[in-house]
Amino acid sequence: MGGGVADRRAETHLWLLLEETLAAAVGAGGAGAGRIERARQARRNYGYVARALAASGLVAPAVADALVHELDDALALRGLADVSSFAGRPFPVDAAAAPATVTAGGPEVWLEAEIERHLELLAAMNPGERPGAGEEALRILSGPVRGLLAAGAGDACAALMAQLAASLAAAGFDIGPVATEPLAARPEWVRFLHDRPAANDGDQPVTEVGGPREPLGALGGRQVVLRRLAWSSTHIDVIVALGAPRAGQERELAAGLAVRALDDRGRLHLGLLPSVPFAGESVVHLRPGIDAPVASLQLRITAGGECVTAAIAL
Amino acid sequence: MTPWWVALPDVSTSLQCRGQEHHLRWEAGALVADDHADREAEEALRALGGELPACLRLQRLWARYADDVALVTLGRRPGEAGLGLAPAAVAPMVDVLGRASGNRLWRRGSAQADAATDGRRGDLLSLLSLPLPFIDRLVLGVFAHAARSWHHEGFRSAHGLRLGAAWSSRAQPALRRLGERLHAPVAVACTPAAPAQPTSVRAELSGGVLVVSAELSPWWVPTVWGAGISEPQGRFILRVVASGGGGLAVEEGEWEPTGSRSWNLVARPAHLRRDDEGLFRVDERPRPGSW
Repeated sequence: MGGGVADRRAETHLWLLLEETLAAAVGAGGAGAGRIERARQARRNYGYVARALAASGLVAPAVADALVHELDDALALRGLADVSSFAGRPFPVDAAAAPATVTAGGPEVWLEAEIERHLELLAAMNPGERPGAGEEALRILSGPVRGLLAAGAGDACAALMAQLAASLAAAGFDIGPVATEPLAARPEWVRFLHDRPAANDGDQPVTEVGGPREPLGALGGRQVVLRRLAWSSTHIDVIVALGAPRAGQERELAAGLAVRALDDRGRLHLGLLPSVPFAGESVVHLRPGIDAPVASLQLRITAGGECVTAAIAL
Repeated sequence: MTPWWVALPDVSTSLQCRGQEHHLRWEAGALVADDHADREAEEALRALGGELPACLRLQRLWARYADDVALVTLGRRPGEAGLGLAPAAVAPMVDVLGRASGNRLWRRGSAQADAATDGRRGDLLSLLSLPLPFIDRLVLGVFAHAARSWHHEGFRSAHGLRLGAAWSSRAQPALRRLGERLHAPVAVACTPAAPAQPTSVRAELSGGVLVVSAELSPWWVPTVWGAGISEPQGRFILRVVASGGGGLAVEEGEWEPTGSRSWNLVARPAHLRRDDEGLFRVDERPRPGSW
């Protein structure tokens, strides 16, 4: 990604979307409270897209952040947000002209982790009682996906969304009209949605295994070491240590860590660490646990558009 | 070249300045403080530690932000009735020196950066609590600055994406209506014209949709749209050519077929004249000669 206008597609999308969002918020009409709530919703959607493009490495985080503030200011000027939220921050032109931190495959990595974050939320819902939750998840994800596609992160993201649609349908959720032809469902996603594993109820892991001695790689400029895995029948604890970032290489891990493990029986285990310490050890709780003999796990830890992986023999 | 503000009427407002009612006027692209005849003396007093009068402070801010392109993102869009901050809401947030106060929760920069941001925030809060016609003219002035600067590659690289989106959002509704004269539905693609190039518009029927592709001159927004003369009596005005005698010589666009499913917008001379309510209307009377 260079400094010219022509290859700043993600930033272009955010500018056009800002105009679209503002037009929708202004043109919504209606009574005061309803109008303000619609503006808030439009602002949330915009922030989600901006964060997605920044996390995927398609736009500089400072630019994404500044654009969200500019939308806030425009809404405040129209009485659609509190005047005290007017920031008047200068736009970081230098950051706009500089390349973002691009990671190969970053958009797909971010999207897959984000889809699985939605699967965790959907696991709390019975499709028989909340069939519309699937369509809602697709609708929410469609904003960032539109941004990723506009930024040129094409086929792989569209394919992930098509797999999600098929998986939701296979798990019994309504998916409404989908933008692309659903591909084959992902068996591990469907099973996760069918099983609806409960969140960790506090029981202690009874079995554990150490991790590899070598770091798995770097996330946000920090070396990631897998200390150990510990598990019970209800959950898996993944204990990771993050090294201190090297000066000038640190990037925020504002979106936290998403951890997924796929066992050799084809079962998916998901967990999130919403808040990442600057450095040091953290425990991520994955669900479900391991309640049948498993020989190995394919582990992946994602932060934004970056990920590290490991194959763990149990 | 015709000044960008030629079709905009003057506006004025009153404000409290040093305990008295003073008047500010916008005229010919500039903010005028009528009640401060000796501006230099007042500036000198301020340099010695005195407080700058409200009128002169606003005049100074007006000049400082006349090229701040962030204002185009804040300004009005088509069909938008109003915007602006209520002075009563802004007053507690700006100190006597015009710096913003409070709301520091989101700050993460250095003290120096915070102070600079406080200053900018306070400045913008003050300017945006002026009456709407002033905000409109301030923003249109920034659009004019952008049009003047468009030929600089560095300017385009720094601000082109913001401006492209801002120009497009202002032009889209008019371009859509222009396309609907030929066919509906219409899809509009609007991009900035290359430096020094006039607005050009093409239309092509494709798969049942009329695709209108416009390359918009950066001058169209401040001189035509901003002046409220983009669509008098359903016509589409491309540019202002000259002014005089209470009227404007303009070019209007008319569709001309270039094939069975394609059209170009061609420029024709027209004349606009102010009516009794001060609005520009197309003068249908034949005019001798042309400009």
